[in-house]
Amino acid sequence: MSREKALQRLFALWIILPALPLLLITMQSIAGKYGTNSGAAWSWFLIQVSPAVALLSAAAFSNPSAAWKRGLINPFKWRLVLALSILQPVAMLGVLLIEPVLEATIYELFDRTAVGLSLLQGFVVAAIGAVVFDGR
Amino acid sequence: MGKYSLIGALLAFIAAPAIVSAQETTPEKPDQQYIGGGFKARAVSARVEQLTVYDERGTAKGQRSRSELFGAGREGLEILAVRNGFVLVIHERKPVWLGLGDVVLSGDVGTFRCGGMTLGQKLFEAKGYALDEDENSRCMNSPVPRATIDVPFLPWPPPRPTHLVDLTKSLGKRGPMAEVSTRLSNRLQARGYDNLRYFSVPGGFAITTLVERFGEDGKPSKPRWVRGKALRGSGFSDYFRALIAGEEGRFRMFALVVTSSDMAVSHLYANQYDVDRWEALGRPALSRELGAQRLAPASRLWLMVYEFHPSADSKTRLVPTSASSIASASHRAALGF
Repeated sequence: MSREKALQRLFALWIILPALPLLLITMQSIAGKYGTNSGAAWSWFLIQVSPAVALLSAAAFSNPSAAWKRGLINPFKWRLVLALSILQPVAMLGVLLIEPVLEATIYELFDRTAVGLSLLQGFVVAAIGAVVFDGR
Repeated sequence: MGKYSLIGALLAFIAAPAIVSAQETTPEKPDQQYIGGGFKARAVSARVEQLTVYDERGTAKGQRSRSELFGAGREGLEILAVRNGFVLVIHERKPVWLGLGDVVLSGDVGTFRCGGMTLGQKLFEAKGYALDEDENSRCMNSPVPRATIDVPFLPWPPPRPTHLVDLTKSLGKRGPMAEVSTRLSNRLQARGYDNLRYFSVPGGFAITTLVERFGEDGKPSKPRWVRGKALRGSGFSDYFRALIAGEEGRFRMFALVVTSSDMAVSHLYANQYDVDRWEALGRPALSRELGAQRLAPASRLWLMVYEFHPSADSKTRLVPTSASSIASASHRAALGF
């Protein structure tokens, strides 16, 4: 697969998958689940998503050489970035979906998962960077 | 060198607000004194010299001077009047009580009659005082009542309940208060309310139940005595509601007041602090002294229902429900009245 195609797919993936937790948090905020503290949910969400989306946006709107666009992506890097890019939003969605059956409040879950998800996000951004900057 | 001086001046400029802020917490600055325990008051007026003294049943016993009450052997105890009727009691330079109103003497040090932290908090915030709620709550519960005296039901008049019902017809024969309270507690215990708290009130006594969860029909619901999040496992609709709207529990606390005095309630609703205080400070039974007193023939029985719902904020707490969605008869049925 060409690097240009891989980048387009990755960008589409990072628009579609985080839309699920985004939609859920929006519904919850409207329904009043967070009371006056909906900022806690939004900051938890944005901290996890913004870096990857920002990096991919920069890559999508930059103008690399034609040779880079035509070049083939390393299959291992592609599989890695794909797996991590799916894992991160799915993990976020999982935190939101599992909360009603846990004893912990949603705020406690935000606190408990923030470190793990941030660590995961570091790997995601690194993997995306490896694809974006490879051979430029 | 000039460059370093400039950096130093810049740093001093940046740090100045922090230094001023730190100075404000010291007692030297008269318009905003740090008074310990999380309280910061902008204006602490002169010390109170005359205090209204109440006995443990809330009956006023007249005015006494500060030195008369706390002078001998109580040099470390200071009472300061903060503006708007606040009384701050400091023992060995630490605040032990902050509240509205006067001092109730009971025992050596005394418990302190408080006009209610709801009102206190509102006035405090309105007047721009910084208030650490948790610390305030802790200080509020500091004066531990002695075992031989009854704990007054505070604040009095009680906070505004969601329902106030006259149940005098169910009071039965007037006699010694111990007898009447046993009769009432037996009825309550038959409905599962076996962890009761007893208080003295002017002209009688009060019994409170613990906070319980209840359903739309007014019956107790599971987990009955758990104030925190209830796990729901019955179907997708419950799960979906919990996922989107969050915790929707209903909670209530009953207070039965038997009194020969005229009944009045405050315009402010009960809050989490009142509930915690009642649960923490209420006696497990009436004292022998109060129990032996005969109830006046004109005594009435009042049921106060305090309804709450959990707040959705990160600090989950009970929030008073002003308008109940169920009739008082449903609550009475749950109580067995």
